Amino acid sequence: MKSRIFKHASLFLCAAILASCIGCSSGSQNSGSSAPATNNSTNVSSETNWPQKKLQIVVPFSAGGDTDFHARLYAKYLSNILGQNVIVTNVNGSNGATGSTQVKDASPNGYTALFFHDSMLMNKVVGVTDFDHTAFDICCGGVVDTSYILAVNASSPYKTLDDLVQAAKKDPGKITYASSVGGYTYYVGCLLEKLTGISLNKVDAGGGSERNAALLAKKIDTNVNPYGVMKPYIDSGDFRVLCVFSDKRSDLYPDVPTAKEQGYDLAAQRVYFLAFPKGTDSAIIEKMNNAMKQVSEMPEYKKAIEKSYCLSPKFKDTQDTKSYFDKTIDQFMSDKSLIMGE
Amino acid sequence: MLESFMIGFHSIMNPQCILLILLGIIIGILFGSIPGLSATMALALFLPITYSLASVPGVVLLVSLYIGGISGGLIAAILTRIPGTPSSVATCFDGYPMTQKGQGAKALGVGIVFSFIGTLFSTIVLIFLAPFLAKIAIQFGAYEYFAVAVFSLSMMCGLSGKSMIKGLMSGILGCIFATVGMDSITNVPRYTFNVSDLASGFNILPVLIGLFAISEIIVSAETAKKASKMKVVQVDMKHIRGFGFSLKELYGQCSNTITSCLVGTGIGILPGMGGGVANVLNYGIIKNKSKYPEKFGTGIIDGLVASETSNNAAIGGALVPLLALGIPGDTVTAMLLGGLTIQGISPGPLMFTQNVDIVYSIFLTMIFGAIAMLFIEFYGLRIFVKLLKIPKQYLLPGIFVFCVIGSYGLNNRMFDVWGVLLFGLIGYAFNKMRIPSSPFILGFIIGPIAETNLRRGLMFSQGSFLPFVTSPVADLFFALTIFALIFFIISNKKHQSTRNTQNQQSVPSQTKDM
Repeated sequence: MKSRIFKHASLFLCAAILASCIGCSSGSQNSGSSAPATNNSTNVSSETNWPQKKLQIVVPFSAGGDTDFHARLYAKYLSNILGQNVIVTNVNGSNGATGSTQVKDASPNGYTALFFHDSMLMNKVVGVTDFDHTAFDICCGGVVDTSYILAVNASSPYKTLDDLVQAAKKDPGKITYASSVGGYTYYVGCLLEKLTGISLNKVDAGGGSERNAALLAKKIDTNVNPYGVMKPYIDSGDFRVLCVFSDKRSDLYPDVPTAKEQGYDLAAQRVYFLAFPKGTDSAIIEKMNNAMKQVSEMPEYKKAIEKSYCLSPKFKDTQDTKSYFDKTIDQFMSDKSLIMGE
Repeated sequence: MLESFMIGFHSIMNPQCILLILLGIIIGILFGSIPGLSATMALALFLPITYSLASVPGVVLLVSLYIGGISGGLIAAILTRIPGTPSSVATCFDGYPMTQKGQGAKALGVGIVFSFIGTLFSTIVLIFLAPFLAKIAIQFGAYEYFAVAVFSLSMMCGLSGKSMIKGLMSGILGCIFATVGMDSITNVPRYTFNVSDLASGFNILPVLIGLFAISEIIVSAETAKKASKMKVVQVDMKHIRGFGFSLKELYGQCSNTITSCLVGTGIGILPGMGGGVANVLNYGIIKNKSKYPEKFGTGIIDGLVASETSNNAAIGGALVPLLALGIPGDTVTAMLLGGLTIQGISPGPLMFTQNVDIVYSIFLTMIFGAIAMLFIEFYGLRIFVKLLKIPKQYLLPGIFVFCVIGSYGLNNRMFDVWGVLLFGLIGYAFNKMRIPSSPFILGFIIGPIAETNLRRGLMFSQGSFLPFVTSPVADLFFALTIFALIFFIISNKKHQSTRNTQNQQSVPSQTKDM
């Protein structure tokens, strides 16, 4: 008798967990559809009744990274503006190629979108994929990261970018530069070499946080990454920033000089964009573009990305983003031999 | 320090946080105990929820899920020989044989208590030594990591059971399967046959549940027709008091526990290793150290203690680099880091001075969480063993469903579901050919670590192997490897000769493959 109760109880338990699992992925749909009409007053010129159901944004990396952060921050505010739930789904693998492919092959109905950045183009250049941004309908660039900095350990003798370049000239191939081969920071290293005529020992030391540890332990000499990734160590005085690869100084860390100021005309940036599968209704793209623009202007949004990633909000609309990537892919392609390491 | 504790105490001593700890532990245990679901998944599901919480409650929930999830894995491992998470692979080795002997409740009791001890030990280490240990951890560069990986690979021999050849075959296959996809340094696609899904390689979870869960289900299905073979495992609950084991048995595990705590915490501190490596590695070490290694795998609590203490000790270890350096060691801690980042907290050198409330909330959550876990699982123990009373024709299809859901939910693609089925068939074939599966898992986890760090090291040294042998830490691990290999060869020889004499006396060998 007693055992039968337990049997039923445990079966019920299993069913309940199953239900809750399914609920987590689709349940939000129900909660969203109860209040769509109220928010549909968003001022959109072209007439589209999209979205009628939840919208899925695919982040081609696992949860917890920078791309995931930016996508989720947008999703949080977009849900209110669009009146439907905006869900972030992580599809990790092949430096973003797996998730990109999934969205590229999805139905262009406006309910699946991709949130990615310049690495999509880099993937094509190094041969990981055979498509670039033109395989999608680009919506807009939501985040523009111009915070790439070059840092050294505080105990290192280099005080300026010039110190570093001179030292590298004296001892070619001795200064270690951490990056992942075929990644964006590897490319920045190649550009620096090309610009200054120096030769660095470009080594792989893992992702952003692993590189921080390597620089802290002086296993590497220099590290290039967005400011936010190294901020804790800059604040603690463990790292010294030599320059930011940007056209002008940031308001958030005005003490850091640009590379340009120091006579090395090199700027790096990464644009996080949203894209739909090819063939999506242009009215949908316009509506999403407007909604994301609205988010990027929100003070709460500004506060969040300043605090977490040391970035100021910048927005690129559909046309801007397209021409940016058209230009970027040309540049990457012309530097292909550089990126592929001769 | 006391003052900091008061701040932490103040932050979490409110109904919301206490409720979140309990909720997190219970959900974590459920996710950990159901094969196919895991601590990683629990955190992935609840991460978005924490975005709307304040920073302390959000972090409290994530840490509780983590502790519960790692500990929950022992339930399925002991009762069904299906590890719920990579952290509980070694728990099956002695846990399931105990269940077969009718000591399921005792095995659970031992597992629960030593999970608690492991968590508590590593938390204390974390509280008092985190910044110091972090300084040591960063001294581990590519050369040292490679040496640790080689040492871990040598443990394959310890997991091989009767035939070392078969064990090594399994381990090498694990290494080979791990190479599928883009290589970790230069993104060259390997064994992808132009299939884009293969480019991202196989995930550890589909491999694990395929090899252990699906193959087990197939084997059971095969024997289902011969009803007599499907013997129902009996668990005697009448004579079980407390946790089902005596104080004397607890004392007997003293040195074993200390070693397990140290190994678990130590492995946990090294990013990229974590509980999945700690439990298997430590099982091998404890078995080596033991006066009766031949009894391991037959259902003795030593093996259980080794696995469960070390995997939970790895939790506190993994939080050392996370909090003090901002380095996540595995997918679970990566999500914890994401949870902190979205709250505007960046772990790193200033974490312990700038975010005292968060840091001490995490410490206290771990302590309270460990205690809550002990109580919940103590009362839950009586329910867990009843799971065995569910006829296998209901239980196993249920597990199968969860395996499929879990593997899909991990990365939201069907490819992983096919992956589970593929590895299920491989596991079934292994079972038929009496090839052990655990070396495969070890090879699959450690192989890429060894490869990546060897290649990184060679990039650093610009092609020279010399720094690998001039690093004292690396040398220590290389020496340990040689020592372990000699030990394995000798004990294997001894084992074989005793078996030969047994065969001459025509006494069938009773030892079971792991």
